[in-house]
Amino acid sequence: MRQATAAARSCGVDVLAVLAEADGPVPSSRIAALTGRDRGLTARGIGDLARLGLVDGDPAAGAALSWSLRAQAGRVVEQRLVGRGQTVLDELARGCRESAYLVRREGARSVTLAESLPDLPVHGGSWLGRSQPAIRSDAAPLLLSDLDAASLAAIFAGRGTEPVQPGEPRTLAALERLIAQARIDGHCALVDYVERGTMSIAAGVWDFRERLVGAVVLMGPRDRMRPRATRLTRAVRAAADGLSGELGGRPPAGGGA
Amino acid sequence: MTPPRTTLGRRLEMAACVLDHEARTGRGLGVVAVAERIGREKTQVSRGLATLAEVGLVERLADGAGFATGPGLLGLAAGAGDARLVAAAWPRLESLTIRFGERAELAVLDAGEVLTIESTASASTIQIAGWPGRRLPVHCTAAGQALLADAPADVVAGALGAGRLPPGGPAAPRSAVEARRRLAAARRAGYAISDEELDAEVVSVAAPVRVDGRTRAAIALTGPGYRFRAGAAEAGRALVAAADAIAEALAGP
Repeated sequence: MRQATAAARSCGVDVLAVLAEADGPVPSSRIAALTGRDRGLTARGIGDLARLGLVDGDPAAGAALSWSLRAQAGRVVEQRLVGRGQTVLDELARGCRESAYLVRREGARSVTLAESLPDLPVHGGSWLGRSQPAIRSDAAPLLLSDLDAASLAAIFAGRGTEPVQPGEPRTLAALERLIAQARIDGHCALVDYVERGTMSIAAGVWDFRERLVGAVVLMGPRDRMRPRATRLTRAVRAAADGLSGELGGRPPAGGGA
Repeated sequence: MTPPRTTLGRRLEMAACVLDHEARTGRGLGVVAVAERIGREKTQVSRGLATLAEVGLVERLADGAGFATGPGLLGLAAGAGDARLVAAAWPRLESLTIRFGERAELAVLDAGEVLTIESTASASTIQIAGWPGRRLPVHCTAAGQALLADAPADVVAGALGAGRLPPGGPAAPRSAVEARRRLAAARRAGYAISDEELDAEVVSVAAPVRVDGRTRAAIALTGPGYRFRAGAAEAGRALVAAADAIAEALAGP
C-alpha cells in the first residue's frame, strides 16, 4: 500500500485501501498492522463503518467493503449518466455543429437518453426517448460489443423487418467484423447506416465497474461530416471519455485511446 | 443510528451521507444539509468535506451546488461486495434479458432485506421498476425466497420471525408458517416464483447462486403478469442454468 498523506489518513483512505486491495474480509488487527493504527481504535472505526453501511462483517471476524457501497455507486452512475451526459452533449453539439445523442442498450433495443440538437436548418432530428432494435442504432458496434455470441446471434436474428440501409451489415459475420473493429478503435464511424445520406460517429461510455453503460453519438448529413471526420472523431472520443471519467470509468486499454 | 465513535467514522459519515443522497436523488448536498442530516456543526462539516474532497472521496460541484460522490469512492466501490461474482453474473443477466425481454437482477441478502446489486433494463414499454441499491422484503419476493430457501434455520428465523409478516402484495404470505411452505416449494423446484406477492401484477422468478454449498446471491427475472406469467416456469429453468454457470465460473481459480 502506498504511503498515505495526512489528509488521506485522517479520512481513513488507508483503511479503505487495505479493504479494497484484499481478496476477502480482513480482521481489524490486520488492518491496524498494515496501516500502523492503534488496534482498539481501528476495531471501533471498523464498527463505525459497518454501521454506516460502508463495510460488511465485523472487526474480529473480518471486514470487507460492502455490497451496499457497490449498489449505491451503481445507482449514482444511473443518475449521473443523463444529468452530466446532457452537459457533455451540449458542449459536443455546440463545438461540432451537429446533433449529439447519448444512447444505451436495454436488452435487444437501444434507447436515446439525452440529445442536443444544433440550431441549423439541416441536422439530425430528435430521437429523445425513442427505442429501436439495438442493431439499427448508429452506435450498434459499440452497444453490442459486450454481448456473448449467443445473445448477438439472437439479436441479429430478431432485427426486424424494416428496410435494410446501404451501410447495414447483411450477415452476422459482417456485424461481428464491425464490432471487432469498434473494440480495436474504441469508437465507430458509420456511413449510410441508420439512413442513406447520414454519417455517425460514436464512442463508448464506461463506468467504475469497467462496464459499457452507453455511447455518445454525433450524427448528421454524410457530406457535411465526412470531410471533418478526423476532428469530429477526436471530439466524440473526448466527450465520451470525459463522461466516463464522471462515472469513475475509462475506456479499456487498447481501445484506440 | 448510533453516532460514530471514532474520527474515522465521523469523517466517513459525511462521505456516506453524500453518497446516499446522490444515489437517491441524483443531486449533490451542501454543507448545511450534511450538517443537519448527521447532527454536527457546520464548521466541522465544512472542514471535513474539504478534506474528503482533497482525497477524492467527495467532489465539490461547480456553482456552489455542494458536494457529490468523489472518484475515489467510486473507485473503492469497484472492489466492494464480490467483484468476481458480479463479473460472472452480469453477462448472464444480459442474456436473460435479451431472451425473455424482462428486467434481470442480481441480489444479495443484506441486513435482513433483499438488496439489488445489478439490474438490467427491459426495453418494453411496460416494465417493472428496479435499480441497484433497491431494498425489498425477503418474504414476498422471489429473490428473497431463493436466498432463504437453503439458508440455515437461524437465518430463516431471523428474516421471517415467528408471527404475522408485514403486508405485501395481494398474494403475499401472511405468516412465517406460510412463508416457510413457500421456501420449501422453492427448494423442491430449484427456483422461486413470486406471483403478486410483492405487488399486484408483478411476477418474479429467482434462482439461488450456490457456491461451495452456500447461497451467495440470487438472480431474478421480473415482469408484468400479463406478459411474463405464462413463461415463468421456463424462466425458472433458464435462471437455474444461469445460476449454475455463475457458480461454475466462481469455482475456478
